[in-house]
Amino acid sequence: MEKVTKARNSLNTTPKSMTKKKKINNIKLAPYIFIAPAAIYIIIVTIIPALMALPISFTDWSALTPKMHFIGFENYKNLLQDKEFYTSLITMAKFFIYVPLVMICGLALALLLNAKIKGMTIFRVIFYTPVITSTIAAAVLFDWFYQPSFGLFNSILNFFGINGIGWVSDAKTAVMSVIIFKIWKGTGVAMLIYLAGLQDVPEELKEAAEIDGASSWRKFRNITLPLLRPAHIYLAITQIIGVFMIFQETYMLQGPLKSTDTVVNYIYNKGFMSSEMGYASAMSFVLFIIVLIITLIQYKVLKIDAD
Amino acid sequence: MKKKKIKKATILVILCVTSLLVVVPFLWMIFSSFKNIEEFYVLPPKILPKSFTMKNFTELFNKAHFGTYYFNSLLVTTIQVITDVIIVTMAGYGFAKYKFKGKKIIFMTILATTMIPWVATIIPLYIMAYKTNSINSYFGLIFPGIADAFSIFLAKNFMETIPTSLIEAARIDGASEFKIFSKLVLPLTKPIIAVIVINKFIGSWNAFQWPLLVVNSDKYRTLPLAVAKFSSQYYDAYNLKMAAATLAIIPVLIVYIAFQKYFVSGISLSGVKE
Repeated sequence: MEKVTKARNSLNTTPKSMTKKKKINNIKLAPYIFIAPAAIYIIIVTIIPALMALPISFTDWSALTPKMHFIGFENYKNLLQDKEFYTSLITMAKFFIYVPLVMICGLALALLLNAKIKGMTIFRVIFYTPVITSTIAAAVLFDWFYQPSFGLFNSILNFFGINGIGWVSDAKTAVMSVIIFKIWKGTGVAMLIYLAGLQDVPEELKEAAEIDGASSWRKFRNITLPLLRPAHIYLAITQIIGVFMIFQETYMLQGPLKSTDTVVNYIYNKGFMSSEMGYASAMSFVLFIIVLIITLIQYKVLKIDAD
Repeated sequence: MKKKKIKKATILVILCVTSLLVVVPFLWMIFSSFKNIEEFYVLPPKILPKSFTMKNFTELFNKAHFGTYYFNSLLVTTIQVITDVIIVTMAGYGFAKYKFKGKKIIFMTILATTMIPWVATIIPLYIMAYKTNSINSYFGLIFPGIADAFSIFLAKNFMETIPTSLIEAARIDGASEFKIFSKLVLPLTKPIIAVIVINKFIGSWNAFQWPLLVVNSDKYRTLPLAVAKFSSQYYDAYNLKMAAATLAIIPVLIVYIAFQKYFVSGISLSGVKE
């Protein structure tokens, strides 16, 4: 009541009778002004480029010649016959081992960190550190660790009487080396997601199982693991998409004979090193469609879960 | 009771050992940036330098223009963080506290754009930069990163918890819409602004893909670009490479340690809960 009288008073004291009307207009207009910068930014930087991607893939545009010609499906036809494209797809497929590995590492850490012990946050902070550091800088460090003759890893192997291996400099072990680096760098993300998921596992359920005499393994297998399903799905999808987008790691840690080149590396080489933008566009469009399908599957699965 | 204590002790031991896998590489890098190059070829490798030398750093700044790269990284990051906070909080407020035509579809469109992978838009974006003469310019370097669409979602969710009655009261008192936003809503939004700022700081500071495409002149090179270029050009200069990597990582490490509580909350906010 007080507020209303106060408002009336303030209205009476304002000399212009227009004020009230102007204010209502302001409220109608204000939200558009508030969202305008974000909307304009997203239109310019994401929506227009996304809409341009397909038309560009039908051209022979290159940064060297300013003209572009419409060449229809030519790029896509060439893509189907491009051996190097298939090789890069196979290389990318090898990287998918990373997804279950990083999830297992993250889950293990989360389970350990979930124990109620004082000072646990310090470990959480430590394990998340690689995530926030520059991939480029961290890769420079690992590049040296992987050095076959005087790197740290082979020195450790030698210490235990094992012969050193070639790591990134050997085409056979190059992908594995990059995966190890990625696990070191990415486990913190999986850990945090699983920790958040573990918070939703009710204590009473575990206690009830304990009273029934269930072993730790069975408790984990039958209660904790199924209840973490949303975290599993979220991580599986985001990490799979992450594997499609691998670039910085393989840009820095390059195996011999293109043994680590993924599709994005190939897109970069074609589009920006050989200036075949139209062709690179066709490849990135194919990649986009694959990622889109995976995202849609994620939504379907999560929706079924919610129902 | 005793069994529980043993279990706790075991967990702590495992955690301490595993955390060495993270801590030791960082320490190795930082200590190695003070080493002479000869020490890199000594077997078995040692973590501590024989004597600490600043030579690597002075060389990077005097001969390799790392001062310029640092300046560029700082400039790009500062501008992007400021614009991000302004754009994101404004949009978040618009979506959280107003009813207007097209609200739902605009919001869903923005959310959908966050799912578009960068690979899909980067070539057209490059062409746009090329046609507007923005290659090798601060504008070209900065503009595509001035806001983070996903943060709008965070800001909106947080602002929805601010009581509408507060805003109504201010309106009745005659405050303008912009004043309500800047003087009433923003101060109440500090915790999520901290999360947005820190995420953007890390993202901008470490940004690599777009800068790699849009910059090829030394004048506009940022730190990650410089580290990558340096590392392939002077492949054997491990001492300088470690110093360069240390330079690129240290600011982020400091921010991370100072604000670590926001990281954990920020990620869990944007993670499974969605």
